[in-house]
Amino acid sequence: MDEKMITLRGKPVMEGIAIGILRFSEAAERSAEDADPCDGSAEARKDRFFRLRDEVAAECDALARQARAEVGAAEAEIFTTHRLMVLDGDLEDAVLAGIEAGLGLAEAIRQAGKGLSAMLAGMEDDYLRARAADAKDVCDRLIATLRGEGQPGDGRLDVPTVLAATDITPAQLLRADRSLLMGFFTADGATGSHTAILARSLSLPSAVAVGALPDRSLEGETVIVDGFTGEIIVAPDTRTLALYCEKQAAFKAERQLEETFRGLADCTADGYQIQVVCNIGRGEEAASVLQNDGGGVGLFRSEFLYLESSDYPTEETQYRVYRRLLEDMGGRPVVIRTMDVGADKQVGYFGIGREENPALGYRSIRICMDRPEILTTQLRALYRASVFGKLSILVPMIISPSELSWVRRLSEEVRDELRAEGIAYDPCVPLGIMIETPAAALISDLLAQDADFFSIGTNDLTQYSLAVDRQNPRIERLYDAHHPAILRMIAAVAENAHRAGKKVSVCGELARDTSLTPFFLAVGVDSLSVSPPYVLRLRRAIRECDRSRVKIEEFLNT
Amino acid sequence: MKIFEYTITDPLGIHARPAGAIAAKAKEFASQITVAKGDKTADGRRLFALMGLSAKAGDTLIVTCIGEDEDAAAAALRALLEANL
Repeated sequence: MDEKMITLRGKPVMEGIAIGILRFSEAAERSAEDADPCDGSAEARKDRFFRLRDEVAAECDALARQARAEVGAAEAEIFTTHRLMVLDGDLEDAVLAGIEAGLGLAEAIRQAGKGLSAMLAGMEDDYLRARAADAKDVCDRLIATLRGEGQPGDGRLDVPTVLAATDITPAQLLRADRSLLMGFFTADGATGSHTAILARSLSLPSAVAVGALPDRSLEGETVIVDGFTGEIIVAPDTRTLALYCEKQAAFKAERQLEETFRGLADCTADGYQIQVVCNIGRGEEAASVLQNDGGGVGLFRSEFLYLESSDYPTEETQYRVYRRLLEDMGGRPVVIRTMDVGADKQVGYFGIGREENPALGYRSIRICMDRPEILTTQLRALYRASVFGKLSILVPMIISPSELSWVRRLSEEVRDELRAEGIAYDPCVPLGIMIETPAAALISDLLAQDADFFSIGTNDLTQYSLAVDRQNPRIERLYDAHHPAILRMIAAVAENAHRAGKKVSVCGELARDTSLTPFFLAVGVDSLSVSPPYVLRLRRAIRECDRSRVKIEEFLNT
Repeated sequence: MKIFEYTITDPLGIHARPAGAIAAKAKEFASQITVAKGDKTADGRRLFALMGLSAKAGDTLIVTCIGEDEDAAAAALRALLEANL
């Protein structure tokens, strides 16, 4: 065994396996003190700064155009923002103040960048914190251009390469020769950074937040990036390398095969048609649904509207998000779940307070029944948006018919109000419920009388049925969604729904488990909702299944 | 002096793109433009300062325009906020 082999672990950004030659990216880390290329009079330095700034802004424009052409409009915005940062008055003031204080131009820029990124890094909001990297990137680019060095890490690649750096900029990824850049890993960085977003768009296996980089002397060694686990293996021994080559080939073959299922119907070998749709948590993910060929949105978790705001989101805020999503999906079905706050998703301004047992506590519909105005606001926003697409409304945590009829009454009141105000809405929006407790599953025949459809949430159904807290690592092995108790409930819920002429979908993590696809098809599930990257994989499993030959008993009894 | 209030409805709040749009618009006017949230105030022409307000959905901004073209500036900024935030 080769003794040099080193394993590091970071946060995975994009799945896949990258194998290449380790190369450290020439970061602009080198101290700016050495040989400041612009040390003329203060006036001359200021003058140089303004010219430099225009030069880099023009470069950002060019990068934005390249990104728009090669990747997409959303990615291009990264560089449009960089351009605004370069030209910003706060940066200008800080640089000019540094020059006044007698600093060389490069050092003045470096310190200004440090100050601005420290300001952003200290903010409470994750999004703004992630922008600290953008501020540093912009200043590094100014310094590199000043030195006439070209951009940091711009060095040409000549062999299949895995880049390692303290941090990597979006510009570096975009400019690199993508036939030779296999993947990358960074010591710092966050999975929500612009670099990470771009890596996912470019399908580059990668990991961030690795901690310490391997020793510089290892440059030129073979390195593996496991984008599934976030593991980095430097100088792997022959056995490890062979193992990962196999994994890589299998993943590539799998991906290629999945691609051939794009555009095909979600239909079994014996002609039984279902629908593969997507679970998403934010409006922006609509693009990913379409990109992965999802048939619509099977579950939009509206919680993010509540989690990311400092007060109850207004009707107008919600309306905009729902309308945009419906428009983006262009007539494909969109199921929006009303807010499921509580349990593991706590929001300060709800003032719920500490509970002994939050999973069995005050959450979602239970909160709304005490504070109906929360649900009224959301329903108004939903009905107003309903005319812009094909909307269904899904209500979580229903355990009895009386709760459902309460929601129905409230939704009728909301529609009456809108009608009285002369505001348009779709009168036929289906109103369905989540089946996520054993209680709801057992009385699904009664619930099916009043619900327009069912959506089975397998994560909570499993945790509640097996009495296994899914956040407790000590009993993780008991959390078995294949338990016959769960599968029997799913079969019964599907049967009760169909008997009442209603549809049933599965939207928990179990939906993407292809070992259960034959079971879901056999019990007559009408749609499966999975996160976007799993659509084609699942479609393949559906098309390869012969429904008439599935033995349901095997699933129900073992 | 022109002052108006605007309550943010965009769930992301003042993130980089709208901050950039506000700064670019503010630069078109001679008036001095400030944007305040609570006790924090930012120069309307400055991207970083605007992002530093950390303004979210539900927060109310107070926009002040002072200068010869203050009427036009206030009208333009209000339209921009309504369209973007």
